[in-house]
Amino acid sequence: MTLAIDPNFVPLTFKKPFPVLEVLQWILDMALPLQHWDSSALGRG
Amino acid sequence: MPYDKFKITDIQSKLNIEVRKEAWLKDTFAPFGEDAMLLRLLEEAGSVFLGSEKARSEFIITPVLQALRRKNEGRFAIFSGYEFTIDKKAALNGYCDFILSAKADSLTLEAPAFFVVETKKADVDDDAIAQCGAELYAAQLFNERKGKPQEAVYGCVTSGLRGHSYACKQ
Repeated sequence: MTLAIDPNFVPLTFKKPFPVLEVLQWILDMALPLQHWDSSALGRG
Repeated sequence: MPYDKFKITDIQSKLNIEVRKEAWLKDTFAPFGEDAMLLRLLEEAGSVFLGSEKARSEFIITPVLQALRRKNEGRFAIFSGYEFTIDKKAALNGYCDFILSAKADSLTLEAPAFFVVETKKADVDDDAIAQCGAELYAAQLFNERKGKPQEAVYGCVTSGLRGHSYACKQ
């Protein structure tokens, strides 16, 4: 197994947090592709 | 030995993880769009004393993760301060600041767990990297045991102002 450390900082500032959200969205899309998303979960609870 | 006791040498020798630098993040990303609520919360956070990991988690990290959830309603779950005991004999136990997983409607962590966040009140150091690495390794084991092995799981260590990103790959 490999722990790959990206040497680039992911900046998060109070004024412009969106680069972090863009990275998180990209990771989410890789980890949980939309075609596997059970949209029936919406609206529960 | 819980996750926060791991050293870089431990994850290399005890968990057999190869640690290397690799620019796996892309250079550009699709626009996320503006989230007015997040902007407001982060603006307010600027006036709060952020002298602890808990404060940074509550006032910076949580609002960011909630903004992600607002845009992806029902797609994933956020577990905060989660006791993530996977293998006590291998010292893979302890609390993760945040774990993101599938199954937004579940009360318990469901596979796949795909993102781990460790919050630090100061700059990221080797110990923080080792802690996050051990947690990512545990997340891989968790997913395998649940029958949903992942090619990679992801994580970051952040002070809320700056951070490093990690990918733990098979």
